[in-house]
Amino acid sequence: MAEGRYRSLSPLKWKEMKDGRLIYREELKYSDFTMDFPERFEVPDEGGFEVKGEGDFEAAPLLSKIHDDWVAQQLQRLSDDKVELLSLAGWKHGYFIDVKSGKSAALKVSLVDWLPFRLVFRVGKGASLRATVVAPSGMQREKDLKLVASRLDVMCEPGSDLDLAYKVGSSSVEFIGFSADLRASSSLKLHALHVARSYGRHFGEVVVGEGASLSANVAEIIPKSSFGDSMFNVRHASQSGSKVEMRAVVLGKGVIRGLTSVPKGAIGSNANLQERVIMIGKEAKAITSPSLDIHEKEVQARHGSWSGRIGDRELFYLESRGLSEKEAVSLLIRGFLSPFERVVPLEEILEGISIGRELRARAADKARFPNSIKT
Amino acid sequence: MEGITELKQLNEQVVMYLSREKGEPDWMLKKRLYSLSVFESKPIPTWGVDLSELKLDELAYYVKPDVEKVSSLSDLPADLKKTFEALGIPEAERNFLGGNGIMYQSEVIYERMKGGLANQGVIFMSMDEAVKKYPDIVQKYFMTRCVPPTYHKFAALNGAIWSGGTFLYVPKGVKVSMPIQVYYLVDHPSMGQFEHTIIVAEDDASVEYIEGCSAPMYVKGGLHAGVVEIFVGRNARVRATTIQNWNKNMYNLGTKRAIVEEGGKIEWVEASLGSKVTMLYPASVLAGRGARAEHFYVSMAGDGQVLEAGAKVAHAASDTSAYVLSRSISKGSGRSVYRGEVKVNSGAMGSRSSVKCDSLLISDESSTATFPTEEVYESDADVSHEATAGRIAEEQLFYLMSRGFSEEEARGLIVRGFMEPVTKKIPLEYAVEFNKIVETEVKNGVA
Repeated sequence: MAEGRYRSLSPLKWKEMKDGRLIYREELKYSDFTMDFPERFEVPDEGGFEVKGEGDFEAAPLLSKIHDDWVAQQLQRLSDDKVELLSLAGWKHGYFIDVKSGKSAALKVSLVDWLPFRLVFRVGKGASLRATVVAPSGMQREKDLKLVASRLDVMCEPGSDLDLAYKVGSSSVEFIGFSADLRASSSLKLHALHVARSYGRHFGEVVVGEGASLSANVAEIIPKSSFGDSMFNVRHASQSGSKVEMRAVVLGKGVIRGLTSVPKGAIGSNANLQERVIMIGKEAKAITSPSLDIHEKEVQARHGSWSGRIGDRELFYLESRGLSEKEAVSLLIRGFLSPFERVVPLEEILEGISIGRELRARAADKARFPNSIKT
Repeated sequence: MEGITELKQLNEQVVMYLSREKGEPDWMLKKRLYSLSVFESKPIPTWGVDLSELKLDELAYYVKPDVEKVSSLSDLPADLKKTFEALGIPEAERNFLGGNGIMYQSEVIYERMKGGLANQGVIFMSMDEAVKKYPDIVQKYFMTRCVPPTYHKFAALNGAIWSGGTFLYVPKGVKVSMPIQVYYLVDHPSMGQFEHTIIVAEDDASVEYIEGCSAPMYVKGGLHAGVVEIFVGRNARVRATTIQNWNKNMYNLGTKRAIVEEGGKIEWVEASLGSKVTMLYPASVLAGRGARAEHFYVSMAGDGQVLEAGAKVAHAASDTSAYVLSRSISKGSGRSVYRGEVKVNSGAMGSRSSVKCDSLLISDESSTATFPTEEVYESDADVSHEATAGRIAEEQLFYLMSRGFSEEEARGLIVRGFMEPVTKKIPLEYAVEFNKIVETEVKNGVA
């Protein structure tokens, strides 16, 4: 188990209470976001979750488990100063899902009401779990909730196997935290989709233990006039493997950052970090930063990033086969996001980011700059 | 320059004194004083390599060389002549250089250009002379829009106390076929070398400029904070090559930046072997349509060295393109870092940028990191980044050893092959030397 805190790329800064309100400031140079938010959240004690599934698992409100030493210990350990707000938010409104050693289960957690939540998964030794967490769209509480801060924490005991998919995103200002602790020889397959509707930040942190493996698909949808920041940190132990693919469809402003660290002693680890950003429309701005920090010789590490618009060649191919430009773009984006089909119907997303309007703007652009076509 | 031999402090009086001794025009003194105020107002950067051991107040800011300026290499004192002969400079001057210069301590002590070039209007002289002889041209380019004093702390330091460096001006349409080389030599403990170089290639011109840097080992480390400003005119082409082999306790905090106009091309070739700490991020501003930048970087960080480098490319016009290739090796307890930034401005439609950086770790103690940032503010762009890190693959070693190479030879061969895409850009004379150094270092590193 790798020791110590993650090296965080950009810690958030908190300001003191001022006139009875907390002022939150963005330390990141990429945006000048500042907002006020209420000092306390009114969060109902119970409800909001619907857990359905098969197999051998235990699901209980987090509050009922809070006196369980193990749960308390994990919660304590997993709260990071960086996501202080996240731990503050979901205490009351949480669920604990436990799969005991050697058992297996498949389940779906639906958020009946869009609230800040906290979900903790524990997958016991040699157990396996397939879980999907979905916040149905159209369920918004932005009227009385200015800010939503939620988190999912995962603990995989040695030899366990977890396949987790989640989709989050509301119209509020939103912080989503994800953390996973993969013990020896466990494996995590993650699909995380975040739709930033106004301002959203999505943090992921994974410690990949000895011989453990991580395969993560993290996607960010950033509609027009929204800001989304997605960050994913991975820390390796020896003989561990990670493959992180961060994708984003950006119509507004997006920041996609990944950091893979291989500390001293993480011999034989294999890391791959990829970032892919599709930019659509005139307003689109994207910053990508895939970073590697390697302190061990016996490793194979690579990273890559690409950002830009949908390729002319691909569009031409589809259009020459009779698709309209809108259909062609939709099809390409659908392919780009296909790993997430399991958590959310893609039509919903495509509708949400209204590509049609952007395409018309693009056509107008082309008319204005006829010689921008490359030869 | 009769009076001073060494300046140990840095304040307004010293700057005014230096400027007066050099007989500079008023505008230059003003620029120096302004730069000094900027230098004093900016903190030491903390975001990158740890610079806390850099003792700015122990530096000699100006050291007058103990040799007079000479007009022929054979007039140099015997010990210097020997050094340069060992470096192969007289031979290179005869055979493949269009111009040759030597900067020793804080002054240029020798410069010479093949006759034909002067007739075509090419200017190649030390910056100190150029300030006096061509004040109008120099004033137009000196720390104005390329590297202003406010660029960062060490650029401002250079602006305040600069001495030496090269002024190279290539008029419109002139193509200089043989490279122009300047050699920088520091031979004084705890000294700062602050040369200032400006290269101007007017429209349709082309030139290749080579810098070689070296310094013998002293107990106290020095600082090299040179500035290179390059102006590439329309459809012009400039290649700037630096082979850096400073001593292993030198801080190398140089600044390099080029502005490239329509259809122009800048090529940066950097080979980094020496210095204790290097923080060098050559920057290309692609200001005109269709401008192109190519950055090639190769480095080897040995025991105790932290070599941090990267390319900064700003796409400020449409249809601009950039290619960055970095290959680094870390051995012993060395650390090599790539920290780069690609920015595509809004409106720079059809811009393309591709960054590749690979690092090789040779010893158990070495480390590497890659921190690329891509800021894309235009959706009609194509920006990509790719990097790998790891050790020499066992199967490659096995393959070569099964064909009769010893392990040492095989490692040397693989490392050479790893660096080849960059080393082939380096002038041949240097490349041979460079490969030799790398090979010995790799052998030592493995042993």
